[in-house]
Amino acid sequence: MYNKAIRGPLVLGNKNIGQITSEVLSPMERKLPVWWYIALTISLSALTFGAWAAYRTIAFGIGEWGVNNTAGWGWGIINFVWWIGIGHAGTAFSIFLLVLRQKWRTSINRSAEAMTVFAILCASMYPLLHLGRIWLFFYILPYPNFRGPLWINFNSPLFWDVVAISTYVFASATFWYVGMLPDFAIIRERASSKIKKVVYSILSFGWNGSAKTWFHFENLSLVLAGITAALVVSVHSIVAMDFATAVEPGWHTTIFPPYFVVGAIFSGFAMVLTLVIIMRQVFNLKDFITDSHINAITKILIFISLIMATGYATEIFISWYSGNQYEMFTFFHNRINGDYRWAYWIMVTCNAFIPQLFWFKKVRSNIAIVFVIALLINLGMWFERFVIVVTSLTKDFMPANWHSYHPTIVEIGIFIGTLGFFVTGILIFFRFFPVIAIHEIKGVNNIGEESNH
Amino acid sequence: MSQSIIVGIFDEENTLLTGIHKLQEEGFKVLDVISPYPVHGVFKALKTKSNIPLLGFLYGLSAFFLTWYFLYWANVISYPLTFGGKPHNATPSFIIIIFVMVINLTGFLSFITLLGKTKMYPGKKVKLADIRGLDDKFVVVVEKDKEMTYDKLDIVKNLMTESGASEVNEKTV
Repeated sequence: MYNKAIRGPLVLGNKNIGQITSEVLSPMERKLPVWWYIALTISLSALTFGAWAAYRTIAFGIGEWGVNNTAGWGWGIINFVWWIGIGHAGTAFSIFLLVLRQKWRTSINRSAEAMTVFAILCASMYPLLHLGRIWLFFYILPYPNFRGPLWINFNSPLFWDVVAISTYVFASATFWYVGMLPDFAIIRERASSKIKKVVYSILSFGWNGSAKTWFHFENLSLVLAGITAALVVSVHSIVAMDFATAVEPGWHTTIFPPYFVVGAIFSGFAMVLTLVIIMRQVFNLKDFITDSHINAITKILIFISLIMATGYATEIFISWYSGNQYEMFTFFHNRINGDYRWAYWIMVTCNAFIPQLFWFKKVRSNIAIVFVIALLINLGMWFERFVIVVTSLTKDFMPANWHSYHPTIVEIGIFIGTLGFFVTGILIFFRFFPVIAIHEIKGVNNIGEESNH
Repeated sequence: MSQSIIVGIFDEENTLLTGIHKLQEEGFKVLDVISPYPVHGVFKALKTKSNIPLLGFLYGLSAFFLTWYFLYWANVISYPLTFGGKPHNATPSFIIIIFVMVINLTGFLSFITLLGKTKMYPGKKVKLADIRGLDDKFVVVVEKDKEMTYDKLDIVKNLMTESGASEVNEKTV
């Protein structure tokens, strides 16, 4: 049971519930600030660059990328895994913390879920573009076709990935949307302009706030939470199996699924932290996303960082313990001390060492430092995927096959494009959606007070 | 169809619950409560029921067998393709797709069930007893049948005011 006297209030400023509505919705009702337009211009430019890169890829083929026969996977899969990892935070926040009855999640889960949806959409661009002939992508769907019907290979992790990712987009978008229904209804009732009223009355599905509706709503949330909790674990395990089932030194290990899942939650939490720090700052939501929220996330990050460090150490130990020369080569001569050692050490520093600074209360309470560390973790997690993909592929079993890998401007362009897409999505979310789950915040406003027992 | 109702507006969760209990003790039927967030005491008092969890389980169960059967049918009956000498009926490698499809179909169908049960759809127009019930008030709706005498009406109003209602109105919706 949450005790307010010990842990402090979840919402600061002794607000009544009417105030909560108007304060959370104020960013939507104010005039658009100038920075919003500047940010949108930048993100749309990035998106345009990405569109150009996507055009080059589709029109001229994968030859536009830096990948070659040896390193057949490059930035495409690196960014895919990076985005999917970031996408894990929303579900982790909403669901794991819901299951663990952590009430503080209520002010953050909405933005984390939004981030999830946009991040997975970004991720899904990569496999599609890497197909080369994107217009034939429907071959991967199991539909009754005129080719036999020749079914796809249901035993391939790459197909499992298709099923898992599309389910993940779908389930998390549903969860996100259902949670917004009551909040859309308030916006509908408060709307001043006619267009706004029409749009939000479509979006709110005619939410009426009656006890019956709430009860069904709560039950549905529990069902969705229960089933998508399993997805958090399964999606990234399946992504890990894309690698682990390949007989490639550095990939073919049983540690991969749990290691990937933990890494995903790590990068996701770091991205949530980045986002909520910006959000509370620019929208003045410090009463809702309090310092103690930031504190709680940083503590989780220390914990996950320690698991990551254990993962890195275990990988190295097992490669030595196995006595397999290819594994030992990959880890000792290629990653720790090879051409790509800078990437390896950026990864270890950012993921295993720097987050340890969060042990100090001074660091945890300095928002600027927390922000920088969160960005560094995002960077470190990107390099983790880079290390896994590039070091293993460029130098595999036969030295005659070795080939270096450098991304081209087209690959970089696609990455910048997805960053642009993500930021555009988040900006639109900031402006047109309730950034904090209003009804959930109201429910925990007075939690832990004597009168409620 | 229009219906006459008595609407009590409460400011707080605690007074709301006292109000509902008092009304029910006196034998008045509380039709509905509109609240800005789910209040668990209200669910108990109104005895609301939902079979979404049960239906969700059944959806999951059906999805489990349907997906399994589809994979079996596609791999063994429709087009038994041999690769690497592996068995056609490779149950272990079906598990993941079955697992994910259970989640997919359960989520989707439960969502549709919510819409069906609450009769919600995009763009539905609603007439609320009091719109403040979505924002910062708790609205108790009591049925006012045609035979209700003025005495009884007064009792309802008094009960509401005594337990802390800030406003009591009569309405037709």
